[in-house]
Amino acid sequence: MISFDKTGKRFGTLDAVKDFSLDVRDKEILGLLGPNGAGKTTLMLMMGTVYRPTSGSISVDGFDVIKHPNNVRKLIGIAFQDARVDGILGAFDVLNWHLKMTTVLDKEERAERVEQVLRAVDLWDARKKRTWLMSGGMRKKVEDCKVLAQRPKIAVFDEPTAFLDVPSRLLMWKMIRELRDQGSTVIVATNMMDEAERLSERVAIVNRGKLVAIDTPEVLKGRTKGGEVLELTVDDGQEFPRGLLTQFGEVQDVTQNENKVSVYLSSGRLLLPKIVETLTTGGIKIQSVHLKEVTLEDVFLNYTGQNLE
Amino acid sequence: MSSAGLVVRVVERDIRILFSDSFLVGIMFANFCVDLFVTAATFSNLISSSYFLRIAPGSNFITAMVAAFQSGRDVWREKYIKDLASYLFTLPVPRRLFAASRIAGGVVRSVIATFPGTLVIAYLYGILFSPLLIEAYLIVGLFSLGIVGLSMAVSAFASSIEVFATVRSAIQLYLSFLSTIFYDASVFPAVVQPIVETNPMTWAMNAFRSLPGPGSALNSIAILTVPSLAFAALGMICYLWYAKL
Repeated sequence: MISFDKTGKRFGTLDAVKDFSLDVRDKEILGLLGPNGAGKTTLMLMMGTVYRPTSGSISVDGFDVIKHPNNVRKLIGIAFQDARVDGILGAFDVLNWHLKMTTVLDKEERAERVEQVLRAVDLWDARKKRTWLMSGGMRKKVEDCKVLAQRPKIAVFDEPTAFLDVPSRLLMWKMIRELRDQGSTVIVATNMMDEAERLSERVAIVNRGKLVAIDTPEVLKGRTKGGEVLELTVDDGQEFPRGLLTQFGEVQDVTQNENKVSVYLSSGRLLLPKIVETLTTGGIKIQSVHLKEVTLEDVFLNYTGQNLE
Repeated sequence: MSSAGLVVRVVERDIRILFSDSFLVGIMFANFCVDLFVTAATFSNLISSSYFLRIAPGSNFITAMVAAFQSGRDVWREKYIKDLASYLFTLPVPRRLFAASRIAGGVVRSVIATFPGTLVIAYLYGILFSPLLIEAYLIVGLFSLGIVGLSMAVSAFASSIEVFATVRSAIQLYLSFLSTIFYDASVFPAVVQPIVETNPMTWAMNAFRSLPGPGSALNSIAILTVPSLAFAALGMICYLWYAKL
């Protein structure tokens, strides 16, 4: 288990992370969701013993990151947001050296492991190409492959699918899930909602260096103004009578932005016919109706008061 | 994995990076050849063939100096351009061992880069097929150790590549022209002589020049060891400071 206990990191006068407390469970995929500059990378670098926390503590499998950094390093593999690879070396050499440093595999086992991951991400034919000549997406795959091939007890991915096309993103998610199935605890830092939602068992929302909320995506969404949002477009200039809808117990909130009305519901599908009938009877001209589920974006907006993008 | 095994792996990476650009290795040897066979040969024509032999090891030490500073430049680039440093510091190697490995890697690179040059000088000195050849490589290695340490120290504090390059040039000028590569210390103005006599390049030159002569060069080598170890320790301390990020 990984425990952050009131962890803080200060750079000069800036608190990059402040009073951050979180327990990461064994063999789970935890999503760290937050905008750029939220402190996700700083948290990972502190966990990876690169930065020293300026307050609080972090323990990884019982090892304190300050007192026993080398024990911690033996457990962790980090795939960075920007590929941290020797540009002058080819993908095979980069991965082979990484495994030499982080595993006890022999030469044949390393070669087999490297070939396996490079073939999986379709980079085998480019294995000798210097990584600085590769595209951003290819380099990112090499970076992710370091951890996928290492199979560490604790695998950390920072924006694992940045620069990747859609098929590659889906493949990378599958490989990360397989890594967890093989016994790794996985932490994925991301600012992509769909990535956090589709990959993570729990999502920790981080904003301005602080933990804002943590739970499963379903629970987080459930806590956010009901479970569904009814989006109505009404005629321009019409004042929307909120009271018509708040009489229903299932309606948790109604907001209006010009002629767009959002009705937050706990059971929208059942209530939809009643709402339409009530509004029509009340003289409201409805141009369109769209029922959608609450997304993590709504959750983030709810907890932080700001959009993620 | 044993500590020695980790050191070997870190050194291996440095060597792989050196050889991944054969142009770089080639150009260093070409520099040595130009330095030796053009500059030194010209001087020998102007003065005497014994002067050629006197300044010949200097060409090799200058190549060693260039190669050693490449290591410092690589460390600087790892932090400021490629941000590889944060990756390297997550690897399961104790920081001190890692710092020592980087210095060892720099020394090995430097000895490799000067390998043919040392053979050429050894041939010129008539010690190519003598056990003194090992001492010749020991001198080049010790000199490289000090310069790698210095370059690591500079890389830790240089905030830009321009600062690094300027400090490197200043050190190279000091090592080249305030030493006995070209002239005896007695030729320098009296006020400069102490600087020339305590220049590590002077000690390295003295050690190398004493190889073919009568008596042992071990005393000269021992003198060279002191500043080399001191600079290596300085480089390690600076690298550890820099590794705190």
